Amino acid sequence: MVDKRRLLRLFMDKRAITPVLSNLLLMVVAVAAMSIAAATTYVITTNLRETMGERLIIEDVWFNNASGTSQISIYLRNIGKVPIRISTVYINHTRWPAPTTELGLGDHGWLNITYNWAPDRLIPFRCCDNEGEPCWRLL
Amino acid sequence: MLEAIIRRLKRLNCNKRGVSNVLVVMLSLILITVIVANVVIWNYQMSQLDIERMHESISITNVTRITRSQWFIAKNEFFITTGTRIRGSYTATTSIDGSYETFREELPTVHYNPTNYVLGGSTRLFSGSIANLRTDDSVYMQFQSYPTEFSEATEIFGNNATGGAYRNTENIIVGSVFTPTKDGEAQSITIYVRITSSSKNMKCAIYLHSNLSLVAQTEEKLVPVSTGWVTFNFNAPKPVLRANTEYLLVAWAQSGNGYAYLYYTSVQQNQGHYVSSNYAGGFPNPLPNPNHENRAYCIYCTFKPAVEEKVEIEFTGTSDTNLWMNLAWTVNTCFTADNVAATFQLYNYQAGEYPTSGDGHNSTIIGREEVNITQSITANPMAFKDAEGNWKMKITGTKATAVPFIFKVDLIELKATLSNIYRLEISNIFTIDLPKYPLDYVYGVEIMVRYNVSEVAERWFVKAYDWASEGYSDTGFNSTEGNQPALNEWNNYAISIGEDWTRYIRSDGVIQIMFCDEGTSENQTLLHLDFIGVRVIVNGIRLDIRNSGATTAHIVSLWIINATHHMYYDADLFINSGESATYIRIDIAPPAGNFTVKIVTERGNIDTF
Repeated sequence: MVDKRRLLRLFMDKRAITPVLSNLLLMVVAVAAMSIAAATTYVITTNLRETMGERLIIEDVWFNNASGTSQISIYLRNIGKVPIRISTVYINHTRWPAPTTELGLGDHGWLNITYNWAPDRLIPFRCCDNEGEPCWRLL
Repeated sequence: MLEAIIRRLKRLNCNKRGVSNVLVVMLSLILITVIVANVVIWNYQMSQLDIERMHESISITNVTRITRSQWFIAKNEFFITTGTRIRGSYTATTSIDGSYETFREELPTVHYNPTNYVLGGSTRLFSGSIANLRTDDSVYMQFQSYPTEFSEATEIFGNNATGGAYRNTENIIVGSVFTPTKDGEAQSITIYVRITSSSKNMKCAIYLHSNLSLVAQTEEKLVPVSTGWVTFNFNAPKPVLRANTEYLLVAWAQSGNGYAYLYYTSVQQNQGHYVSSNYAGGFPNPLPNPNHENRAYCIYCTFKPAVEEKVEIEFTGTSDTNLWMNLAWTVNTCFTADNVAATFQLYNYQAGEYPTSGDGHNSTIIGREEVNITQSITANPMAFKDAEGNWKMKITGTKATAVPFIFKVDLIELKATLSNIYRLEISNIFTIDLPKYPLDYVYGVEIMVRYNVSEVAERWFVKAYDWASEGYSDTGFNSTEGNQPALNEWNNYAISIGEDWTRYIRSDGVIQIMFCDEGTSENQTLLHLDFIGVRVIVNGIRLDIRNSGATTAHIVSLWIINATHHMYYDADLFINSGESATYIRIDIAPPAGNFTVKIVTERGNIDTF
């Protein structure tokens, strides 16, 4: 008897639809906002994780002119948890042309840089990812 | 307290923005959790990696060049071509120590066995083959005797009772199966018949029941009208019957006026046989598929029992055309009867006959026990083979008996001594560990023998089996002149094969080595063998590595660095914490002069030597 009366009041109320719509709209806005926040968080943490997971060692450095050209051959090994891409090399704090080297997990290989080296001379050397960060000070 | 919570929930339920607040709070918590988990857990993992790397401590304690593999030793007993093992075993030759194996030189001999045989008289092969004569292993070749002399008295086998029932034999071959208990010579067949109306031509025959082949048939007789026993004689040569063999005795009559009844008596299943066939000059051979009936027809065979049985076989074989200094022949044999007079004769080609005494002849009474008949021929042994090396031996066994016997022969062997020079030739196989020393990185082979001899009149040689030419050779050896030993001293004899060594190593790494004397001494020498082994010449590197860290180290790369080259090699070696390991790489030829060796672990630690 009571339920019939309430139902009748709901149908007779002129403002009945408005609260439902407003609640739904509020929920959609809340979910959308949180989705954006979640995506942003994912991007940020992934980047952070990749940065933290990079480990690179130099197995060997060979100053040679075996091919008739003076070059520095560096043997690199990726011992980290993420692939590494080396696109920029700095020698003596100067950007130096070098082939892009990609090392997957556990990969290793030579990085050959043509450079007119001289014995008994200290050569500051860095190699970096695409945008210059992160960088590894190698020599 | 409970009331307060219920009150707040009611208030939340009444709040129009309640659901949104809850969603925002929950999602915020999830986001915070994800961020914290990603950063903290990942940071923990990487820190763990760094800690493990710090705890890892690997060091190269020594680096040496490898020019030789370890010795590969004998795994089985030596094969002796000529000579005798006196004492010890091959295990004593696997290391240089006080233990040794002793061999003795012997006169070189060759062994020959028969390759064929010819049966004499009516001797039959009972079982086995000529291959059974190669070894004394109780696997025999067996022959059955045959009767050679017969008694003057006669006996019968068959049914000599007079029956009451009968079957017509006109154009029907009728008879029954009977088995004699003695060997003998059949003389005649007698049948109990009734001829009616007119006389009729009749004859009898013996078939072998096993294959229904005709053994012999009797004379033909015109049997007059009567009832009674009628005998039909065999013409010469009369058939020889074997004891314990089933024979089918049959009668056959020509068609005419009246009948030719053959009587039968007892009832035995399928003993009776008959087959329709128009009367002709000769019995059909074999007998066409006969019908069977449970009848013993009144027919029997009269025969003279054997009084002597005999086996006679001629064995033939091939040998060589070398000069024989001595010849010894051996026959291992027995019979299934006692007191069989056996004669063994080796054909004398110079005399053109089988000897009846002396060399090449032996007469012995042999029974059921296996015996070795041997004879050594020192005078003119070459007379017992022809120019092509062929030889033959005749064996006969004779016994006065009517019961056949079996001649069992286990071994027939001719052993010829080729020289009066004592020889010793021993060989063995050695297997190179190819997974460890692949042939691609092998530069040669070394062989070492450590031995002691009782007599130093001759040199001693090492040879290797050439798998291509299938013979022993010393081509490519650094020395082919042999080794002159010192008396009663341990002599080290080393051979190096630097050229054409691949011909001596089979694809599976097996190398076969022979050690032999020079073959010039008539004195018998004892050889004590302390060690014999084979190793390969390589050019590799050996690293002694110690893991003094707290974790297992995985070495993933190896560097050989000198002034002109930095050579990288993949590696795959695990070393447990606190342990040392030896790492051998024969595929890495170390450079001449000084060089640096560097190893790198999977975690990124590096050590150099």
